[in-house]
Amino acid sequence: MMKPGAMYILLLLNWLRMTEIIDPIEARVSRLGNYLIRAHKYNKASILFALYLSEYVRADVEKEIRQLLDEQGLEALSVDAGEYKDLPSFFSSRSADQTVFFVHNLEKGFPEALRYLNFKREEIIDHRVKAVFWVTDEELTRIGNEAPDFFAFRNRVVEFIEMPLAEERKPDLVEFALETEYRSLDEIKHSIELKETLLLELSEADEISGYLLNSLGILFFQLSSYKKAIEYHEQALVIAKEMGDRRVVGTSLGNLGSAYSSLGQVEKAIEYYKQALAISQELGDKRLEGAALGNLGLAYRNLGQVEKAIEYHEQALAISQEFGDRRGEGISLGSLGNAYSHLGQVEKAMEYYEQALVIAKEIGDRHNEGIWLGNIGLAYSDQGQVEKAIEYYKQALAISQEIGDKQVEGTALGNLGLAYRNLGQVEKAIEYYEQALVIAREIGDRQEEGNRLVNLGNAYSHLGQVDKAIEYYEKALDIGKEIKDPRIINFYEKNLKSIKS
Amino acid sequence: MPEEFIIAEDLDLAWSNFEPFYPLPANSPFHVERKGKPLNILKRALLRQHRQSPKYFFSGHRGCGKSTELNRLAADAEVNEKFFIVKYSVKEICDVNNLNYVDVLFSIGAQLYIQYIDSGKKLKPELIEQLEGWKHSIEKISEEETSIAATVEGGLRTFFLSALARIRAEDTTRKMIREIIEPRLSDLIDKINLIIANIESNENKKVLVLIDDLDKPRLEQAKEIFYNSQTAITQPICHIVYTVPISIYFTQEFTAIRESKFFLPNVKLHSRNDRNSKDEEGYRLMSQFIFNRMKAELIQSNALDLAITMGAGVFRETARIMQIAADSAIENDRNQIIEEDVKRAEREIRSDFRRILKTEDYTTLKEICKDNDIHGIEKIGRLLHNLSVLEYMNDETWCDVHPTLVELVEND
Repeated sequence: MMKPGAMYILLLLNWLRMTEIIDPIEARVSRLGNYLIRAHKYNKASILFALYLSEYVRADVEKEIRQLLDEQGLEALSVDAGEYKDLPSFFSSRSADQTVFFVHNLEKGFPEALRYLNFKREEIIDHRVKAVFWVTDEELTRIGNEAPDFFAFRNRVVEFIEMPLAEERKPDLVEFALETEYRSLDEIKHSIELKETLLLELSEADEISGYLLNSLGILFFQLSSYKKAIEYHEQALVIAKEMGDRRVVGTSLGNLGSAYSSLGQVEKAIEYYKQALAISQELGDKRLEGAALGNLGLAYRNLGQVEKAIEYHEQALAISQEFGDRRGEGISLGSLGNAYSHLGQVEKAMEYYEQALVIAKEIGDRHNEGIWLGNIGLAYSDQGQVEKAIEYYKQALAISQEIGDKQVEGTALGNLGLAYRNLGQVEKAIEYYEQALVIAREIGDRQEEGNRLVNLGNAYSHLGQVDKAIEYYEKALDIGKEIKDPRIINFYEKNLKSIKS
Repeated sequence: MPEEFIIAEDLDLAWSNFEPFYPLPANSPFHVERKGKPLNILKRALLRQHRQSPKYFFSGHRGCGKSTELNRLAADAEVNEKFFIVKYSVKEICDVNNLNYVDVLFSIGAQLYIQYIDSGKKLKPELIEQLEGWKHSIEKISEEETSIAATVEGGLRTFFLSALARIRAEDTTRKMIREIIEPRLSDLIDKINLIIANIESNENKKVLVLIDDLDKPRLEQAKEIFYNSQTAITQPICHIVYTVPISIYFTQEFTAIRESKFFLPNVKLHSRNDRNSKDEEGYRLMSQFIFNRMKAELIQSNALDLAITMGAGVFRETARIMQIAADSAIENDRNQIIEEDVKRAEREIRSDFRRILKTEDYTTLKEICKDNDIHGIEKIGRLLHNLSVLEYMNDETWCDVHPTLVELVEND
C-alpha cells in the first residue's frame, strides 16, 4: 500500500482543485487501477489520462498501479511515445486481453503522435485497448487542442499533481520555478497562475521562491505588464540580497533595467544596468557583463546617444568574441548595425547585419536570423529599394512562421504593409496590416496593436475612406490612452484634426 | 458493442452499460425514441416521390446518436420495401484523415458493386463486360505509371477491394489512384450510374446509399468535399444520405442546400433563455435512456436530475456522466449513485473543458450564455465541435453553452 499522506504534501492547486475536495492519493491510485480491472472484466476499451507534475510521484504511483494490476493477472506494458509515434498501430500489434499500456514521453512524439492518435482513435476503441497516458498539464492541454477527437474519447482524467517532499522534490520544483519559455499566451497565463499559487504556499522566502519571483517577473514582462514585472523583480532582489546570492542580485537588477526601459524610463533603466554591470565585473560573470553592456547600448541608443551606444556594443562584442559566445557576438554585431542605421550610415549598418546574419545561420539561431533579415530589409527600404526590402521581409516572415516566432512575424507583416503602401499598393498594405494586427492581439502586445491600428487608419485615410480611418484612429487612441503612449495620442490628435478639416 | 442488453441490477454492470463509444445496432432495447421521431422526417423525405434522386446531408453533435439512427433507418421495414440499401461507414473503407471526393465517389461505386454481388445477386453480362473494360483501362494506365498494378488480378470484386485498400493505404498509391481516376471522373460516374440502373431494374426498387462517418474528416477536407465538389458528389442517380460534420453544416456556404439538410437535434431540456425551466418531456426521455440501461433504484432522484441536466441532452455525454458517476459510487462503496457522484463527473468534465478552451473562447461563450443566440457562425464552429456549445431546435434554432460551464462562464 501507498504510505499515508505523510510522504507527500499538496503543493499545487489546479483550476479544478479550487472547488474540489481532494481525495487521498491512495483513493486515486485505486480509482485508476479498478477502472482498468473493470474494463478488462467487461472487455471495454479504456483511454485514461494520469496527470502528474513530478516524475518521482509518477514513478511511485505507477508502481502502485502495476501492483494492483498484477494481483489481477494484468500486465502493464510501457510504451515510449518518442520511440513509437504511431501508438494506435503499436497498441494493435501488441494488444492482448491481459495487457494495459502505460504511455510515456508523449511530448517527445509530438506532433506526429498527436496526429496518429487523432486519426486512428477508432482503431484504439475497436481493438479494446486499455491505455493510461501519463501526461503533464502541458501535454494534456496540447492533446485536448491538437487531437480533439481523440480527447473526446477519453474515459477519465485522474490527477496526481502533488509534489514529493524535501530533497526529492527539489529538482522538479527548481525546473518548474525557472521555466519561462512557453508557446502561447494561454500557457503563460496558466503558468503565472500556478506559480503565484505555489508562491503563496511557500511560507518562507527561500531559493525556490526567489526563482519563482524572478520567473514571474519575466513572464509578466512577456505579457508587457511591466509594472507587475518590476514588483516581482524587486521582491526577487530583496530575497537574493538576504540570501547573499550575488548572481541572482545581478540578474534581478538587469531584469529591472529591462522592465523600466520598456516603460520608457530609460535613465532609470541605465542605473539598474550599471549596477548589474558592476556586480558582473565583481563576480567575473562574463555572460551577465555582456548582457548588461548590450542593454546599456540599447538604452543609450534609445536616448539618442548613439555614439555612446556604439561604445557599449563594441565592449559587449569584445567580451563575446573573447569567450567564444557566438550568439552574443551575433547580437552585438546586429545591435551595432542598428546603431549605425540610426546614424544614417546605412551601408555600414548593412555590413554588420550581414555578419550577424552569417553567425545566426551558422549556429542555427533562427530567431535572430529572422530579425537580421528583417533589419536588412529595413536598410534597403531606407535606401529607397522597396522591392529588395520586400524580398528580405518575406524571408524574415517565412522563418518566423516556420518557428512560430510571433513577435518577428508581426513586425515583418507590419513592415510588408508599410513597404506596399510606399509602392502605392494600399489594398495589399491593408491586408498585411490586418494580419499584423491579429498577431499583435494574439500575443497581447498593446503597443504594436496601437501602431497597427494607426497604420490601418492611415491607409484608409489614403483611400479616402474617412469614416473607416476615424474608426481605426479611435481604436488606436483607446489603446494609446490605456498604455499611456504619447506617440499614439499625439499622432491621433494631429491626424484627426487634419482629417476632419 | 455489447453483445447483451441487460438492464443492470448493480452498478458494476451499469458502468459497463454506459459505455459511450459504440453506436447501438437497430432494434437494441437500449434505444430510446425521441420526441417527434426526428428520423421519420428523413424517412418520409426518402419515401416521397422525387423526380430526381435526392441527396440528403445528415448532421448532429458528436455523440447525439447519428450512427444509431442510421442503423435504424437501414433496418426500417418500409425503407427496405422501397429501396435496395447500401450502407457503409467511410471510416472502414477509406482513410478519413485523407479523403477527397474522388475517394468518396469511388467508394460508392465499389460498395454498390460489392454489396450487391455479396447479397448473391448478379448484374447483367453486358454491364459486367463494360465494367471489365473500364477496369482494364484503369489498370493499364496504372501499370504504365506505376508498378503496383501487378498485384491487381482476378475479378471486379477483387479489383474494387484492392483499389479501396490502396486508397486506404499509404499516400503515394492513393495519390496515383486519384490521379488516374480524376481526369476520367465522368467515366466513373457513368459506371456508378449503370450499376444503379441495373440494380434498380433487377430489384424493382430504388437504390439508397447511406454513408456513415463522413463527419469524421477534418474541416478543410470536409469543405473540399461538400462545397467545392458538391456537383460531383450529387451526380450518382440514386438516393444518398451523406453524414456531414456539424461545423460545416452551420456555415454560410452550406445554407445554399438548405432543403436537403437534415439535422438530428439534441434533446431539449429547458427553454431558450430560461435555464431554470424544465422540459419534462426531455427529462422523461433521458431518464428512459438511463433506465433502459440500469434499474431506477441504482440512482437517487436528485442525482438523476443533475445527471440529465449535465448531459445536456446529448446521449454520449449523458452516458459519460453516468459512467463516471457509477465509477465514483463504486469507489465509495455505495450501491446507489448519489448527487455527489454526479457532481464529481460534472467537475471532471468542466476541468477538461478548461484545458482546451482558449482565452478568446470565453468571450464567445459568455455572449452565448447571455442570450442563447448564435453570434457569427465562423466563431463557434470549433466550439460546436468540442461540445462547449450545443445547438437545440424547436420552433427556432438556438444554442447554449455546455451546462457544466454555465457557472464558470457567468462568474468569469
